[in-house]
Amino acid sequence: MTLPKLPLVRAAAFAAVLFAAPLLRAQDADDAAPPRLAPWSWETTPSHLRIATALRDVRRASAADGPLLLKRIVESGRDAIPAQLDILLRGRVPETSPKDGPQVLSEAQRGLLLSALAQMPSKAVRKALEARLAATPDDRAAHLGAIYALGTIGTVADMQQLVELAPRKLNDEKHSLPFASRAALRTAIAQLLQRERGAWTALSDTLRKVDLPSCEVLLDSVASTRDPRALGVLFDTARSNGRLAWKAASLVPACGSSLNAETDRAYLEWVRSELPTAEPSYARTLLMGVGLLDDGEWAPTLIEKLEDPDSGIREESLSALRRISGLQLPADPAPWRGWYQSEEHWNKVERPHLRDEFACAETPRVLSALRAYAEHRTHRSELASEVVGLLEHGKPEVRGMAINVLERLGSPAACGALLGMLSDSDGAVGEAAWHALNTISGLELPRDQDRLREILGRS
Amino acid sequence: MLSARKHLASHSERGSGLAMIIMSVAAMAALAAAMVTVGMSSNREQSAELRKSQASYLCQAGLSQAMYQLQSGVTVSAGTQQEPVTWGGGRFWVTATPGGTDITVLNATGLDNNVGVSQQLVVRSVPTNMWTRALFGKDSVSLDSSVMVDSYNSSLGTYASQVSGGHALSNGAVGSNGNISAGSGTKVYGNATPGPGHSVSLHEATVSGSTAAATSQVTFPPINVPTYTSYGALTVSTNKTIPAENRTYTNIKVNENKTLTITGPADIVISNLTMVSNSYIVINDTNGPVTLTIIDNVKLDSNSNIWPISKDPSKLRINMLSDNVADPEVVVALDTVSISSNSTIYGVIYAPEARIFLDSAFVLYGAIMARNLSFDSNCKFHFDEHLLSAMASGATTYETLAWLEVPYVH
Repeated sequence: MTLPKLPLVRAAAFAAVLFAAPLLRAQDADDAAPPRLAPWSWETTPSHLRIATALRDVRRASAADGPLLLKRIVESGRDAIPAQLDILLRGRVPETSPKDGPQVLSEAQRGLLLSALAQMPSKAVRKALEARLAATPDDRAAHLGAIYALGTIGTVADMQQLVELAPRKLNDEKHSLPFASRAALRTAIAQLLQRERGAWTALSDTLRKVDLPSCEVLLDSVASTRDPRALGVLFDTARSNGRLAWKAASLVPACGSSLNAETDRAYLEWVRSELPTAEPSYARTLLMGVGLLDDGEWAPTLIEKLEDPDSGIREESLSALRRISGLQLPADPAPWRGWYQSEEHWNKVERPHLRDEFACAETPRVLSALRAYAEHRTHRSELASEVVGLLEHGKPEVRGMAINVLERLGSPAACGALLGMLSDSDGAVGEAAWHALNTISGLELPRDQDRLREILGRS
Repeated sequence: MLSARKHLASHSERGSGLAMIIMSVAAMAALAAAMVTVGMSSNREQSAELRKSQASYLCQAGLSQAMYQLQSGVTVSAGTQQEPVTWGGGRFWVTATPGGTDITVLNATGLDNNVGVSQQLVVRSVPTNMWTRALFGKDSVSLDSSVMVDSYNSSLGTYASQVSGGHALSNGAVGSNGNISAGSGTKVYGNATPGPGHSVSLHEATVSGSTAAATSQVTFPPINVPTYTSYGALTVSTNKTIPAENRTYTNIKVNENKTLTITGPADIVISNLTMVSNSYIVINDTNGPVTLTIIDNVKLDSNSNIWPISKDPSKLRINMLSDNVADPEVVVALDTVSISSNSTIYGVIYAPEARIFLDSAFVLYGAIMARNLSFDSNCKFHFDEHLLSAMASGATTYETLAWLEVPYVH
């Protein structure tokens, strides 16, 4: 009786193995770790092979060959979109001949694949992606690929979905995100922030809706953009969500100034309000942003903290003082007090006279006063505001010198005025203004003025 | 009578004009004298200021000469108070005094026409040695949670013998040419030095030292793979010993509970290294160190261990060519550096193109340099300060810690 059933049992077992194989492979990726090295054992269409050939060539190609390889994948056409997504979501590259070894999709290969997807009609990509995810809803590794794809073709409306797609650590009470999830989500969100209008507003909404581990990754994305808008988001988060305050503050040194003196100052005021109750490690994190954003007002506080019982606070205060002053004085408070007193003396006694010199008809005296301004590192916003008045001077050498001084002062208070100087009648002055904006922002700014204004938040 | 009075009156007023003139001249002379005095005083002030500037430049010349001598490896000799160096119409001298471990304090005095200025430069000697930090990531370093980095000195005893208050010494530095991030529960007992223009982010983490950015990037030299006689594949199913000679193997696999002993001095080139759970690679470093150069994949399963008999990390260097990104020569795709939980290595690991991610209780005694380092849960890195001298090339450079003007004492 059993014999006749054997072929049936075998067939059932074969079918079970056939259909369970992808699930077993999916279980390999339970923690959404990178896929393990194994031959491609799924369906391979001609599109798969064409794309795989180009992808395998990535490993032998130089950077200059990138556009050619991209063209080869793009020329596969929109019919090849499912194959592109299949490779992306599986994280492996099919073998194209018996000589080929198994390949895990490398970062460079994934980059090429995503560039090709970006050139396809986004609606078609989205449709194929939804179909692919619907076919294997529990495939955690596929979710990682989908996050990368949505980062490339998605819109601000996808932000929440990106968070939901990110696989969590199994058996983890905190629902933490494993390394691979964090990396994918951080990359995708950063892409949206850099590409999509309205993404920064959508991000603020998303931050209010998602859980703590996801918020932390979103904030990492914000900092990774090095966008002047980042500080505002970090500041809002820190103020509104105490559980994220430390995380947000820790990212301020990475994102830099908002290029808006008011926002920078407001953030520093918040830091001042946090410090009295902050434990030493948190206080140190808070002080890390001070060295970056302060224009000298914090010097007395920082000098005082050079004698703090906590070594971390002493280190960070010294680091901030050195950054603010441009001096490499030791950790002893005495020379720092001397420096600050000389700065205060100059500001109170000499600066008013020098400011009067700005109105002098003799150009050498104006230039001499400007030079003196460039030597000082406290009250830089005020100094910059006073120097800005000379940007309307009739002589281009004075305007040029004023821009150089603003660049040296490095205060974001000058950004608006410098933007106005980009179209100065003297080309050299306009060029100097562009360089000064690059230095103050710490960014590599485009030449296009509209784009530049948008980046600097003054569109 | 009236005319006589008029005559007397006119006679009495005679000479008043002269008096006025004399008074005016006197006043003008006094004014001129005052102006000359003010002018001279101003000149004196300007002259004193000029001499002070000159004296300051003389100090800087003296400090430059002293720094050049330090960098050249010779004793500082730049005049003395009794026999100063004459230069540019002025005089200077420099004294060099020890200011602590590896610290030298240079005090320079410059004199110009008896106007003196003193300046101080505090420098630290840094041996030319790539192994000066526990961890260095070329692109970035991410210490996500509960990672511990400290230091010890293997020449002074075991790590355990140097632990006090939960950690050993505090020179377990972390560095990168990019950003460094330290997350929840991470403790770095040492400096965290990001690359120029980059930063450290500390979230519920502590760093005992400085977080100031470096002023220059660290260059990663390429690994040159030597060519030796090939011994094919080696599977260690019973304990085995490789003699002290240079060899190439295609693959080495050390099976569970087995030990492969490599006798130094030796350079061993391996295409793929696999260590199954509870396996050991022991370096017999009695007669010299061992370098393992692994071209493709490194896979260390749980509880696998690599160490020299002496437990001296300077006696084992592991070079990893794995790139995790692209390698034109390797048919097998992504090179893997996989290290599972509870693995322990004593040595220095150099993987200039590898992105190393560890989510396990990995312990390293020594140092690691890689393209990208990401560590999670309970990884421990104990930098061996003995590497500073044991792996130094011999040359020493000096870095400036502080520069300041100090009161000039006659």
